[in-house]
Amino acid sequence: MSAATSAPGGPRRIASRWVGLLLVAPFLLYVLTFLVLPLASVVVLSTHQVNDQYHLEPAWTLDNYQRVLDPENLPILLRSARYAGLTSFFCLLAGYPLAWFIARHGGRHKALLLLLVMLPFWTSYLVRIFSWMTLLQTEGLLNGALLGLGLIREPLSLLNTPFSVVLGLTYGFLPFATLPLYVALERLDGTLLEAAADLGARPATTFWKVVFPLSLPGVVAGGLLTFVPAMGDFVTPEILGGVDTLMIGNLIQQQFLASYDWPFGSALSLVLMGLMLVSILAFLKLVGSAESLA
Amino acid sequence: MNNLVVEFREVTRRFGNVKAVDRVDLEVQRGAFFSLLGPSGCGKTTTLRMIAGFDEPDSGCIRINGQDVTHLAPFQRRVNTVFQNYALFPHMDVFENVAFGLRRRRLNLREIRSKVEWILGLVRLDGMGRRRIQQLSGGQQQRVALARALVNEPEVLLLDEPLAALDQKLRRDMQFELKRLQKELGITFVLVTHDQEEALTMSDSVAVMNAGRVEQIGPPRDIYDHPATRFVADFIGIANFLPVKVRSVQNGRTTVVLSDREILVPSRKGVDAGAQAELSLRPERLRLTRAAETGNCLPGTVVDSVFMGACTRFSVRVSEDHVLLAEQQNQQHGACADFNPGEPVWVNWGPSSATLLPLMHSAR
Repeated sequence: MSAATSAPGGPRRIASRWVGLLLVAPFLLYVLTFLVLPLASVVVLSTHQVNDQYHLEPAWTLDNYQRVLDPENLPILLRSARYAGLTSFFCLLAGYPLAWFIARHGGRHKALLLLLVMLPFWTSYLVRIFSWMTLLQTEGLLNGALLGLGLIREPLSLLNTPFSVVLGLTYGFLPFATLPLYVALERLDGTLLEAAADLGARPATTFWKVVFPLSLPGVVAGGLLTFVPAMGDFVTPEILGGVDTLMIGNLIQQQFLASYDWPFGSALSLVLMGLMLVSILAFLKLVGSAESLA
Repeated sequence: MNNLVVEFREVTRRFGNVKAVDRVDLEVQRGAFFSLLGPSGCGKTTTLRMIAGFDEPDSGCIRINGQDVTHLAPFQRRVNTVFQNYALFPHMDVFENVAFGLRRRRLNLREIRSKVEWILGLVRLDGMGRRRIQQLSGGQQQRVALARALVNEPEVLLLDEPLAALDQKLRRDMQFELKRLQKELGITFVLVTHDQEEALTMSDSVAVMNAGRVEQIGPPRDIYDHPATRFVADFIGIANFLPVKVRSVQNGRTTVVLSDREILVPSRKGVDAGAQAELSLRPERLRLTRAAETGNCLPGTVVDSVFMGACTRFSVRVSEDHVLLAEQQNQQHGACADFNPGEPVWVNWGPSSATLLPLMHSAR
């Protein structure tokens, strides 16, 4: 081998460095144009203010962040967290038995059953949420059935309540909880269940002492994957909710599309992002400790 | 009756069309080291799982300590299992793994502590209680699995090929340990294994299984010296088989004809004069000589010899279709273990060294 080509920093080495850069360049350009720049502009925008002529002007102020904590805005933020938390909880509650069934009793049909879990994604989310409207409205199917059976005298007002919003969110995000739970339960060693029974544990004890602790990574992942999108969702509360069930997503949408207060909308978006980031970091820490257990 | 810990009566378990366990009768004496031995797929593991309660028989009855447990769940039986992959709880440390069964019985913490400490000492894991399972070697995990089962002082301890994952040396040590623990605690052990040497060296009693049936139950010595079927003779140790015709049965001795020679063998129930039968001969019971001797003997020709350290294994052709293996001890002077290929020799054995096998069992 000649000394010229094998020397460190030789022409061949430099050439390969350029090839490498060339290969990642399209992606870098994409990230720069569609992620970094817009994000930076949102950050800059959040320090602007709207003047009397409804024009944006730079103000280099943090007032917009202050307004997030105002008495008319803070409850919306807290409500979003509450709805997202409830959504996560109900998704896990419903997803756990579903994932258990597919993972432990699915047999040859596991792939098909998983496909069925994801089948709703083939239809537009909007269409599916609208169909919940027809189910829940005063003259809807559910009220019709309950009235017909004589279980209620007057139709229940289900729509435009916290109930209908959390129900819609839970319905929408259920697959996101089911899949990580499925993964965790699928890799659970069946002989551990036998070992627990062998040592005198009844099924319920086996679940709480062995199955649940070992499925924690899936529970945490499922919880996060439902909490984060539910927290930022605005379609569901828009369609199934009312004035009292506004979520932070609706608030942001209003700033941009209705009241044209882009700086405040940007501040809200960044606060939401920060909250998500914190919950993801907390999640990674939780998973880390859950993983080291499992 | 009270001395039986485990009893199987006509137990059958089907998986689809296959009878994994087929009308099995078993009796395990209290305090015995009992082995279920057989090739993979013979039904030994299913048998074990039915004692533990992981599997339910389709028909028949299982008793533990005289109590009918056929349809009881595992957690309702005073039986504990050491699993093949140990099945230790990965999210608990050694102490919590061992204490799992005690906690289910709601013992108080002081009792749990003292029992766990006692059993960890017994399996030589003193002071390891706070170790995590992932920090332990295979041999140590094995001991935790043993401790976790034994601490509950079960009526029967079930072991499902517990040594299969260990290397040769560790396996020897663990065989010794198991035997020691079993003697010290006086607990009945039921071991599933496909390793005949393991079964022979450790057990008081061995059940040889094949295709869902128990072919023979008895002390290791009986099974080796007096195999009940061709399968047992073939599976345990090495056996030479020769077809014979029975000439006469008299005073516990049977005369058979083999290559026009009369041979004297121990009689066997069900093998009567005129029947076709088979002779099973262990290689180490055969003696090679240059000159003919009186007694059971066959002429042959040495075709091959393999030096095996303590002995030499000769292949001797005694007829067109049959080559016998004969092992001769290697002595210093080498007189009796020195035959060359092509050399004519006589194969000799004593009248009680052969086993007569009825031909109906030789279907395999």
